[in-house]
Amino acid sequence: MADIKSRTSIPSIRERFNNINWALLIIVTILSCVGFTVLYSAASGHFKPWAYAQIIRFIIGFFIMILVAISDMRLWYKYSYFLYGISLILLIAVALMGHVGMGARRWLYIGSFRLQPSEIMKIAIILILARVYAKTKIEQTRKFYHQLLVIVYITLPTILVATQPDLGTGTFIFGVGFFMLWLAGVQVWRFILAGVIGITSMPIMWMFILKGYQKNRILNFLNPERDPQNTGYHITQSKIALGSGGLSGKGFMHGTQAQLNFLPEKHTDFIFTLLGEEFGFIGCLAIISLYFIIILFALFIAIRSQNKFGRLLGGGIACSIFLYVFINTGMVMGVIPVVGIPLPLVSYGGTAMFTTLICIGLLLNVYNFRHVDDVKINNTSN
Amino acid sequence: MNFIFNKDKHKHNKDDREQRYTQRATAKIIDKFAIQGNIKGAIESGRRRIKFLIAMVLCGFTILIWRAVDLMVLSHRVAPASSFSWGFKAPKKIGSILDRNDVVVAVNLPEQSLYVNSIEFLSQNESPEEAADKILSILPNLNKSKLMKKLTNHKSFTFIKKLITPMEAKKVLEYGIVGLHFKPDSKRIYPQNNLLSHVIGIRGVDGGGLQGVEKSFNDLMVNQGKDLQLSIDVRVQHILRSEIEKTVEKFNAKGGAGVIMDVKTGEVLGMSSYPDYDPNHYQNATSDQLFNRATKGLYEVGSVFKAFTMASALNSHTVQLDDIFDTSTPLKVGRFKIHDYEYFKYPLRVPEIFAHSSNIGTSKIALQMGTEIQKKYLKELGLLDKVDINLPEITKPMYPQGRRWTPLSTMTISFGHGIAVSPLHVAQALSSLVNGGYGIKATLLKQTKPQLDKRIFNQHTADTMRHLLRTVVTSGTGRKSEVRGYRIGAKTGTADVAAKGGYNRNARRTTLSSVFPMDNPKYAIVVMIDKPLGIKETHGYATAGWVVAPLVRNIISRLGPMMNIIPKYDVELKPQKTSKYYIRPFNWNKKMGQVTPRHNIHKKWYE
Repeated sequence: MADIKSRTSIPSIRERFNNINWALLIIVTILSCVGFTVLYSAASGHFKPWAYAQIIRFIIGFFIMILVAISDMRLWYKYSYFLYGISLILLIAVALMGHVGMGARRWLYIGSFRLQPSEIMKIAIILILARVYAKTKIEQTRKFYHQLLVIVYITLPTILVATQPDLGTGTFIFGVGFFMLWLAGVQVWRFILAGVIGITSMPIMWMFILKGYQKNRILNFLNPERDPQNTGYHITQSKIALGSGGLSGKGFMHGTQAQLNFLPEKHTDFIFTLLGEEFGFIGCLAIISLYFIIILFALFIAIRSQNKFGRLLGGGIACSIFLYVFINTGMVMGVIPVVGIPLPLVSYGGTAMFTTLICIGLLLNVYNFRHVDDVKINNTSN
Repeated sequence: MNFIFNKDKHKHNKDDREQRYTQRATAKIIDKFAIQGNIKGAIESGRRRIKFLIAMVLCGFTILIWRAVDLMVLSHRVAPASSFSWGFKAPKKIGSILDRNDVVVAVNLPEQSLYVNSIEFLSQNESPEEAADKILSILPNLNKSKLMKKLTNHKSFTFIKKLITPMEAKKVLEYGIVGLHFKPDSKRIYPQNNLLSHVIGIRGVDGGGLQGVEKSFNDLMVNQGKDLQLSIDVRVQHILRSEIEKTVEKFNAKGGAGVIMDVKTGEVLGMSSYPDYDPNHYQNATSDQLFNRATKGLYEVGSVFKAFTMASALNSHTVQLDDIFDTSTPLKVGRFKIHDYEYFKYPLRVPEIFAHSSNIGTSKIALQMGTEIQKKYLKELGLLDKVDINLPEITKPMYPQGRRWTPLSTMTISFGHGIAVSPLHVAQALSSLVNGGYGIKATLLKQTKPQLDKRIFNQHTADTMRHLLRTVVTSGTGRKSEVRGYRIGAKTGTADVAAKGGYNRNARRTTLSSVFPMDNPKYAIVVMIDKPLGIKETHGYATAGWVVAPLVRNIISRLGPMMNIIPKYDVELKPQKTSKYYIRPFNWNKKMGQVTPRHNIHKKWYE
C-alpha cells in the first residue's frame, strides 16, 4: 500500500533528479556535439564565429534543461495560460514595433538582448493545448464549439507569425496545434473534413495570401530547374552538395560546395546539407536515426504517463521535434518547398537551441511525473 | 466515502437521512465509476492515437531516408575526393556541335578561373596593394577596392575572376604572386555568334542545356561526351540569315523567319529566326530575340495553303485541271464575304485560280472537296500536329477543333486563314508536294540517304503540282522571285494579322514558299516576314509578291551556284498558249475582244 502511494504521489526534488532519463540526455549531447563539429567545419576550421557561441549556449541551455526537468509539473500546468498570454503579447509587440531584418519583422530588442517571440510561442502552444485538454472531458472535446475555441488558440499566433512574414514557423505552430488536437481525441472525420477544406482553399491562398517569393519557392519545388540562378539557387546548390557527398562523404572539412561558399545559409537552415556533403549518406542516416530515437523516447514517455497533461505534453513535444526534423531535412533534400526551419540542436541559433532544450527538459519532467494521476495535477490551481 | 458520512452531524430522524445519504452515496459511486470508465476509455483512445503517431513518424522518416538514398547514393555524381587536399579535376568533356561539313558551331575550350588563398597570400606578400596593381594590369576590368577586400579577407578560397583566357593566365603566372591559384575550367564558345542562335539554343552557366539542340541533345553531349553533327550547312544558313536580316531592315518589319529544307531527306539545311541573339551572351537577349519564329511561332500563312488545297483536290479527283470556276464577284457565305485582290471578268481554270491566287476559286474547290478530305490530307501532311523535329521549341498548330471546323472554316482554311502553323510546318508539307508525293519528317541531324515515308499524293498529282508551282513564278504572283535558269516554283501568301475581333488591314504577314529546281526538286525554301511596311520602292505595297519574292530570288541566286545546280536556259517550263498550264493575263478578254458569256460558264475556255 505504501509502495503504491509513493509511486503515485508527487515525487520530491531529489527523486526527480535521480529519475532523470540519462540515456536521452546523452543522445541530446551527442547531437549537439555533431552540431559543434559541423559548425567548426562551416567556418573552415575555426571555432569562431559559430561553434564557440553554440557551445556556450549549449552549456547554459543544458542547465536550464535540468532545471526544467526537476521542476514541479503543476507549476507548468498553472502558468501555461500566463505563458501563452505573454507570448501573444510579445508577438503583437513585434508586429507593432519589432526590428526588421532580412525583409521580415521577427525580432524584439530588449536592451541588447535579441528575442524572437515566435520561438517562445512554439513551447507555449504545446503547453496551453495540453492544459486545455487536461481538464476537458472527452465528451466535451468532441463538441464543435469547444474545438472552435481551441482553433482560435492555434490560429491567433499562426496568423501573427505568418504575417511577420515567417511562413515556416507559422506552419510549424499550426502543425503542432493540429497534432495536439489529434492527440486530444478530436474525431477523425473532422480531420478529414479539414484536410478537404484545406486542399480546396489552396487556389485562394495562392491568389491572395502567398507573397511572390513564397510562390517562387513552391514553383521551384515543383520544377527545380526553373530558376537555378536566383530563386532556386538554395535548393539547387543543396542538392548538388548532397549528391556529391555520396555514401561516405568527402571527409571532414572537405566539402567543396560548403567550403567554397556555394551553399548559402550553410550554418543555419542548410546545415544538414553540409553534414551530408562531408559525412555522406552514412552521416545523414546516423543523424536521422538519433532524432528518431529521441522522438520514440518522447512518444513512449507520453504513453507511460498516467496523467493527461503529461501525455499531451509529451506527445506535443514529440510532434514538434518530428516537424522540425522532417521540415528541415525534407526541405534541404527537395521533398517539400523551402521554408525557414532550423534543424534542432545542430543549426546555429540561440533561441532555437534554448527552445529545443526546454522542450527536452519538459519531456524529462513528464517522465518524472509519469506515475502521478490527473487529480493531483489538475487540482493545483485551487 | 468518509466525507459523506462526516457531514452527517444531525442525528434526528436518523434512519430516514441515513437512507437518503446511502442512496446519494451509491449514486455518486456509480457516477464515479462511470467517469473512471470514461477516463480509462479516453486514455486508451489517447494511447491508440499515440501509436498511430508512431506509425506516422516511421513513415515520415522512411520518406526522408529513401530520399537521402535516392539523392546521395543512387544519383551520386562526383567521385568523393580521396585525398585531404584541394584538388581540382579537369572538367568533363562536353561534346561539340558540328554542321554537315564538320564546321564547328559550338565547342568547349579550356579556360582557367583565378582564385586567391588569402591566408597564404598574406603570409608571403608584404604589400597587397602592389600585388593588386599587378593583377589589375592584366585584368583591368576588376574593381580595385573589391579586389583588395578579396585579397585580404583571410579566407582560403575566393574567386578573383572566373574564366580568364590562357594568355591572361600565363601573364598572372609570370608575376609569381604567392597565394594566387588557378582552377581548371571550360567555357562553351559559339564561334559563329548570331548565325545559328535558335538552332543551337542556350547552355546555362551550370552546363545544362536550356534551349535548342543544346537542350534536346544534352544527354548525348554532356553525359556521353559525343559530338553532334547537324544537318545545317553554315553556308546556306548564312545566306538565309543575311537575306532575311536585310529584308527585315529594309521593310522595317517586326521580324522574320526562314527554313531551307532538302525535300527528299527532310534535312533542315538552314533555319533562321530574326531578330536573333548571340548564344555567347544569351543573358543580354530579350524574350523577342530568344523566340524561335521558325518552329514555335504560329502564323496564318495565307495563300501558301492553296498549294495544299490544290494538291488534295487533284489527288482526290475533286477537280481536274481544265475545270472552270466563276470568280467575278465576292463569294457570300452567311454574313461573311470572301474577297479577291482582283476580280476576273472571265471564269478561271484551276491553274489560273492557283497562279492568280484567287480566294474565291480556292474556296469553291474546297467546298466541292469537303471537310473530311481536307482534314485527311492536312493531317497526312503534318499540318495538324507538332513537327517531330529534335528541338524543344515546337508547338501544335492552331485550328478549329472538332465541330467548330464548319464549312466556312473549310473555305477559309483552303486559302490559309483560320489555321496557324509554323514556317517549319509549311516547309515540311511543301517538300511532300514536290518530292513525288511522299510524306517526310523534318530533321536537324545529317542523313545519308532519302528518308521518304508512305505516299500521300500519287505521281500524277506530284508532277502537276510542280507545274502549277512553276506557273506562279512564270506568270502569277511570284514573278519577282524568278532567277533565270534555276526553274523556281513558288507560292506566295499574304495574310492580314489577326487582331482583336477581326483582322488588322494595315498589319500584314507575308510568306513565300518556293522549291527549286522545278524539273527535279531539291530544296524547299519557306520565308516569312512579319508585319512589313510598304516603302517607296514597292509603291507602298507590302504583299508577298513585293516583299518576300525578291528575298527568295536573292537567296536562290546565291544558293544555286553554291549547291552545284547548273542553270538550264533551254529547258523553259513556261507553258505555251495551247498548254493546259497556260495562265491568261488579267486583261485577257479585252485582248481577245470578247467577253465570255455567263451562260457559257461550264464550257472549256478554249473550245
